[in-house]
Amino acid sequence: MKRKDLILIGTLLGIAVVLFLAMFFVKQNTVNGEAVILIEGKEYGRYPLSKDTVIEIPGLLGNNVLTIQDGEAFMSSAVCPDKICMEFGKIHYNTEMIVCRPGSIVVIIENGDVSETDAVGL
Amino acid sequence: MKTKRIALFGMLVAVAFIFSYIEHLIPLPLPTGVKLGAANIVILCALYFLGWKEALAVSMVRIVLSGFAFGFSTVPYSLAGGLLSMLAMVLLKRAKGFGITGVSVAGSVCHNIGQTIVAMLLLGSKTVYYFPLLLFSGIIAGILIGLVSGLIVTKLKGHIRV
Repeated sequence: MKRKDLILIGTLLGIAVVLFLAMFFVKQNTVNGEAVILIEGKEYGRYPLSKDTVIEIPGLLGNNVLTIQDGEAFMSSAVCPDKICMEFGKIHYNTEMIVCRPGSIVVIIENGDVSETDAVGL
Repeated sequence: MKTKRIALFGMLVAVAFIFSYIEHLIPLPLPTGVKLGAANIVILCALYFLGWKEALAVSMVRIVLSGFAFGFSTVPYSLAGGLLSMLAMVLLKRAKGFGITGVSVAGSVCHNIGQTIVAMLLLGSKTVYYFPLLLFSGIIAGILIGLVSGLIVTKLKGHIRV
């Protein structure tokens, strides 16, 4: 490896560490977490993590099912063949997300208090 | 186009595709979206042995083939990643002082930047929160791919003539 390679890798790792730390603090802000469902980037619904529920998310191929249980959200059923969204597991921290690319569905955890998320500036 | 050149192209595309296939076949226990990107070994070799146009051609053909084989939902992401990655690798290769590992890391990280941009466009800007993880994994994958490609380029030097 050449010297410039190491400088490049070091710089990028530095940026990664800063971003990770920033994400860590954003995650810690989870108070009244809500699972926000986005379809093609547009908000479909918000569901508080404090209430156990089962949500059917309509897609082109059929319904994906998001389950909220014990303060955590997870994709319990998926219509796509690869089921990658189910591999994301259970999420409950602020900004944690589940992505279903074939269905253009994103489930992201947000604070109940929106202004607090904005204050972080990310 | 000389016959030898056509044969070499076919081989490179085949190897790149096989790498993608193996990665698809054996999913590593890593967070979703995190991949080694072994096909980039072939793209790097093409870049160092043939040139950027040839490497870009191999990269694009591989992406379209992967689309047919594994589904088209990932193709916009791979295309953006592949193009941005190629741009970064070509620029860094031309800049003095960078070795194949640096070129590989830049390519890998830019691949993840391209994918994040497409995710933000298609799935909403909030997907940017996934980027720190992809950046970190991109650096690690880039180093590994760069080291392997460096070995291959050194060993094959003098054996590949087009």
